[in-house]
Amino acid sequence: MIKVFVPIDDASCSVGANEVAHEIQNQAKLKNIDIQLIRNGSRGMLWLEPLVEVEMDNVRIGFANVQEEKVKELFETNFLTNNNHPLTIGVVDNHEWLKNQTRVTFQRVGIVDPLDIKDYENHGGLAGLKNALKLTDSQIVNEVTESGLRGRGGAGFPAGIKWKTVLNSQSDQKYVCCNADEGDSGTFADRMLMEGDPFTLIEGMTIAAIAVGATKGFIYIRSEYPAAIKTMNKVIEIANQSGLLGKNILGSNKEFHIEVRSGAGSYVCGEETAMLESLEGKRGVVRAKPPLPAIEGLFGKPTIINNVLTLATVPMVLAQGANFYKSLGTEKSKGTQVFQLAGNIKQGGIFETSFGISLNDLINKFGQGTLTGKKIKAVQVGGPLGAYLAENKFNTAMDYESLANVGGMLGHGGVVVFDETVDMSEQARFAMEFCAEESCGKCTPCRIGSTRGVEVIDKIVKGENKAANVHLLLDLLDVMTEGSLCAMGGLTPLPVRSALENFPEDFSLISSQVTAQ
Amino acid sequence: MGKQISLNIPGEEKRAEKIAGHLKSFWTPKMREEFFHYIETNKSEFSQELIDAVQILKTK
Amino acid sequence: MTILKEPDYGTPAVSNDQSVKVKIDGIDVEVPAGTSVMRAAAEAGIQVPKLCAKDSLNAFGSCRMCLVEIDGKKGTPASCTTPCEQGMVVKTQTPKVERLRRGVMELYISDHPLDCLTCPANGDCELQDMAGVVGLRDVRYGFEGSNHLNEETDSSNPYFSYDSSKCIVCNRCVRACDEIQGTLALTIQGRGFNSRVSAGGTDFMSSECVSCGACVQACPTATLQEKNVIDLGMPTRTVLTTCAYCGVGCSFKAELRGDELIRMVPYKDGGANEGHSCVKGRFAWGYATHPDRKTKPMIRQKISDPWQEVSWEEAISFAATGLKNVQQKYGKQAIGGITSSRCTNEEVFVVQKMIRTAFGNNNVDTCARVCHSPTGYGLKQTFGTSAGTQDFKSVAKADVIMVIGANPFAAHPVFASRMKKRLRQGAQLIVLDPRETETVKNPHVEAKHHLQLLPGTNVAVINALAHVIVTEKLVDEEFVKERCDIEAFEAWKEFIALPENSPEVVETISGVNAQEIRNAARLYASANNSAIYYGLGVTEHSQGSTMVMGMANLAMATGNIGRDGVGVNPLRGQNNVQGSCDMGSFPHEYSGYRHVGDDSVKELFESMWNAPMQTEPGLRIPNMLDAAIAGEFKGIYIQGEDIAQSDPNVKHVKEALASMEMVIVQDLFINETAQFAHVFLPGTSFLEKDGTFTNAERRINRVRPVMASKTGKSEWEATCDLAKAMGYEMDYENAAQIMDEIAKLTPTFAGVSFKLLDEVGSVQWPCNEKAPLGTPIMHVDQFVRGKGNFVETPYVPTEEKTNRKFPLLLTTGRILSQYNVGAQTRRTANVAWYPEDVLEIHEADAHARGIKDDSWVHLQSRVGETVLRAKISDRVPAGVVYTTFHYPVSGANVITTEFSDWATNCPEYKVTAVECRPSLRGPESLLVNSDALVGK
Repeated sequence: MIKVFVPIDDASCSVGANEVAHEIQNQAKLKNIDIQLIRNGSRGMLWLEPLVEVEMDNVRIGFANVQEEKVKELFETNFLTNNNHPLTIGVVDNHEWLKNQTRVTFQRVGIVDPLDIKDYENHGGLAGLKNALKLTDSQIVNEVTESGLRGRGGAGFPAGIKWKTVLNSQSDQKYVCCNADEGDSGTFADRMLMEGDPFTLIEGMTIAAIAVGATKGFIYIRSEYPAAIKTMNKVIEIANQSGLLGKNILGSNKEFHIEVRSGAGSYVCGEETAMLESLEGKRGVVRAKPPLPAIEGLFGKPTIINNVLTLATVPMVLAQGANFYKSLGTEKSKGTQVFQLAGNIKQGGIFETSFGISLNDLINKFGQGTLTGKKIKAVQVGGPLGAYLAENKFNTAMDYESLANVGGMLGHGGVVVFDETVDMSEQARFAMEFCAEESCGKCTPCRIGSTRGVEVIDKIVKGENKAANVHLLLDLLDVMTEGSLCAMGGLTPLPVRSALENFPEDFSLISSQVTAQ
Repeated sequence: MGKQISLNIPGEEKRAEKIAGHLKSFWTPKMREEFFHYIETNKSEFSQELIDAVQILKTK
Repeated sequence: MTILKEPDYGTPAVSNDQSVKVKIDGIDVEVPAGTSVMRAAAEAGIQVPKLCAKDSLNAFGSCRMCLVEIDGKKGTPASCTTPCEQGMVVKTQTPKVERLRRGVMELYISDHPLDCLTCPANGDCELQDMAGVVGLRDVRYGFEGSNHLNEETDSSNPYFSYDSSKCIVCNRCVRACDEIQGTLALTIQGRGFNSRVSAGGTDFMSSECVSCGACVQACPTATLQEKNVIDLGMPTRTVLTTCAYCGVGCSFKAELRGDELIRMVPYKDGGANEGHSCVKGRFAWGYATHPDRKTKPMIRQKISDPWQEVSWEEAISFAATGLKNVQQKYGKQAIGGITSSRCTNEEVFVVQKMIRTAFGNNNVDTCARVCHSPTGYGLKQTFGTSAGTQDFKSVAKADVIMVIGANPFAAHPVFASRMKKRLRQGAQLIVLDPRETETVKNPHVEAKHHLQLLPGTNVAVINALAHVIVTEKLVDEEFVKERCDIEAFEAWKEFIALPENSPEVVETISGVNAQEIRNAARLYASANNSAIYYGLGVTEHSQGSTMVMGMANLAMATGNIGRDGVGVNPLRGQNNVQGSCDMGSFPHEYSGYRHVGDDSVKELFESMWNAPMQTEPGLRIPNMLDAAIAGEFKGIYIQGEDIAQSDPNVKHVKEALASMEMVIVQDLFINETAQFAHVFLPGTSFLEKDGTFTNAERRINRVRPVMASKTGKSEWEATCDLAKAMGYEMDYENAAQIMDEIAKLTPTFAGVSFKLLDEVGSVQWPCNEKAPLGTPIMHVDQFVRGKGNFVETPYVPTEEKTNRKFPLLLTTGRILSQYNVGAQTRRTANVAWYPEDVLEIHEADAHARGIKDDSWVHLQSRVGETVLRAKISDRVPAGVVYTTFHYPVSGANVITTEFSDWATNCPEYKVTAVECRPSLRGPESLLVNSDALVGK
């Protein structure tokens, strides 16, 4: 039977993948061809979606940008056995984009059937968990610590150290919470993983649970991801039935249960303590730290909170060993990062590679510059709270430390490209506006400061008391940076300040006016 | 009232004494007298303990 | 004193055996580990600027005013949320934090009205203070930006208003409602700049707010402000005193300007309340100056005559002559008196002294007769002392809380808040109550077991609980062996194990599922600490005293006595029930619960009082009333109690009063009882009193005069005058001297003096040489009586039974905003919450009788009838109806019968067989006509 793959991922569906899948089945039936249609995750080459793949001679041949109305034509050219249709891109695995990646976290995304646990196992799934079950709790934690895996949510805190704190906290109940409230603009890796290889996340959470003695887990998924919510619920059911979750995990007598909870549209609920409040059924408001969630987290109990990508990387670490993982990346940023290329870019999508690749390679070599063909003016790395980097920073290595050195941050690995038509004063204003819109309202610098920030930028742009207002804005940025309770207010100044410093002309200012006084 | 007290003061031993003690501690002499009088004329209504208790009080 | 501003340490005190040393601004401080940097600084005398922090609330970290720098830590952590670590070096004033604080303050003020001079909080505003402290000189943002300056004020609550335009969103009110009060009526609505305090999306009055005022107290600005302060301005001096409502006995700062009381603010150092209060204590004190108040003595020859205002001298002489005449005509025993639990210990003490000396008899009783007399009896028999075993704080250590016949959420709200806090931390709750009260189930707490028994079956159920403990071997054998009288225990054990006490048999009597009883018993017996709290649902029964002993048995059998978190605790109804009982108000006992028949005690009193004492008990209230009807009791002095409304079978009470020749009433108002009086002596409100109240935890609290007596006399002075006019010399220079005499005559009070109380705030008796600072928890090493005494408690059904004519059982209770017969609360704005008594009736019972929700129902018992408004409710089971007794017009006690507790005569208010039917007319049509009795 011929295997045909049509992505079920939301991005692909938004450009017609469902219709294509339906039509392929239709045509096969009409033509009496027996096919096995598999709805896989996306390969991450979003400019090629819907990317239909046909398995021939154990390799997968791709057909890019397939539209419903093209399906008939594909059948007419016998695309199931013959790859000479103009839409073909040949063997997908040999595509430049994929060939140059080091896929660890995303190794199975786009390849496996997301809902087929056997397929998952056939592609190396559960090896990590099986290894973990042979280790003691602290051995598992050590392995993760040793691997150098850091939190992919944005803060980059070493996962193993967090786990160790939870392991060492005595409690009758512990939790593992997966933060899947992926709210950063230009990021979509969490979603694509959950839609494309959800069992990896389940396996990763289960390993975490076993490592620290947690018996209950939650996946907090933003409500804007209905497909991911559906998929995760489905695979939890499958996992429960097949003994991957429940009271006796893979016959080990260990217990772990997972529930999916969805947010209600608040960006700040991606902040871990606000997420805990939301999970507890309260308003999504940030908590002061200490106490650390690892000691007093969900319902006051020790809690591991990790991002989807962090947890989804854990099975690989346990399967292949800490040494394998830490051999990748730079000295301090070990392993790989799942970069998400977005914005005004010709080739956008998932690009997983070792830390240390230059921004220039990402956006120009692999991203192929802007979609509009115009010159790139600025790149925002790390979501809406990340810095806007100008051309003179494009050679920066993409790792936690190098980005911090140029006043930026890696965040969740989002890379958003802007061409020369962008007005950076508008972007600076937008950063403040976003903060005003999404602030939880708890701390004063963020609650009032963001609104005042918009107003002051407006005054600067209008030319009112320019020098005094720039001074005021810089003071405000300081108060927000130093005074805010969480990263929302604390990092909002980053894009504003970088816009001011790198693009003063957009504010009709000269650079000497925008350095801190 | 007397009946109520006797029902609420149970126990095998010294029951009459306990009842007598209660009446002595909490009732005015006049109330006790009236009660003695009533119990004399309506003996059949009352339990033996209560009658004994009244005897104890009278002899004190 | 001038206005008392209590120091605020920013975050709550931490109790921890381990301590850490830190250096703050060069000062070395040692604090318990876990203490915040802010608190440690405050203890070193350094005030870190703050707005969202308050030491009664958990650290929140939102205002960002308290940022500091700590060596070796990056950034500027908030001192309120940062715990001290060993060796930490903190700087609270650096150029960096100064700049940040000013920047934050600039943001605050950019959205705040600049009307300080005309603002009601002027002079008492933390925002104003902090703007000064951080040196804000300029708001560079201007004031034309987005703001909340035009937000509307919510004035719906009668006592305070919420002016959103002044709100700085510090969340203190929201947190106070959560952490202190436990109601969670407040929240923040919206997010970011649009965050606003909201009473759950509605106005305060329509919300779940219980008007405790914790939010008002917590507010750093004029956002939540007492209307009195808005109308009258800021107070300028403070008098520390004690609330005169329920038995919790909250300490308050009465804040005044001149002699005008502006507001009452709960006092943080108050042992009972620790800074919290309820709507009554904080706000409902306006009755003290209500126009209905009578401040002049009045007399009349006959009760059908109009009142005549006279001088004190004339009134006293008239009263004394009247009483003497009665004694001449009818004998020495023909007069008596009733003391009031509303009055101070000193006032009560002199009244009972007057009766035992000037009257020459023991005919003294107190209103505790109708509420907690069984407590005194029952706990004395079992433990050896007539009082609760714990302090209120103890509940914070309880793992299982059993509430029996009480609804603290309505009647003892400040204790309820403590309890709720503990329950929300995970303690389990068992409730015995015929009704599904707020205590059983509310949005934040739910009882694990609600034993919804039929009224009158308490003893059966407590026996069944004990039966399970005994037969399932859950007894704490070691405790019993060491601490209790083994013989009594063995006898009790044998009795309690009888099949008649099994849950299965009791189920048929009480209607409570046997398994539920078993589970509740196991829960109570198996917890580390189980505590019993009970109310009038225990005492006001024909077996009230038996039930008290039943609970004591249960606590002893499980070893739940003598330490924190356990015990048997009455929730006293009136502010000074404990005190009035302690002071010798019962006809058989002197102060300190010593029997009048005890010769050595008699000698002590005779030598101190210089008068012969009687050795036989005197009349109790019901005996007095019966004797009056029999023509043998003709004169009475009633101190601050409205027996014609509060006592059962009101018709009988009124007939008794009408038959007397000299009725003297001392009260604030012309109450129902005063209709039958010949002499009216104006009483003083608690705001005028100088003395002490003793609360339910035996805590002796000072009551200090906030204003001059409106009658020109203290009540004890009037009592002394009357005693003197009757021929007994009784003189004190001040109330302190009375306490000195109490201390001399009462071993448990031996160490108490006003001087001590002024020094230490309050003490819990026993306070004597052995315990110079009082005794928070009793029976720690041994019971007061030596060995704990198990008493057999056979269930004897009440004679008040339902029948064809009266098929329903009526039971009664209270509500949060009103107090007892309502004499005070009805004369305040509290009527906004509860304008009338209603009859709760189950749908099935209502349906069968054609009674509709909100319609009038006619209610009848063997002894009387009344009309109430019906409320169809599933809080009561079918067969049971329920009402409150706050309004005289509804006359709940017209219905209640003369049945009473076998040991103490405490009336059986909680069980009355009744029938009801729809009525076309309201209650006015049916008022028991006092006028007819009075002869008008």
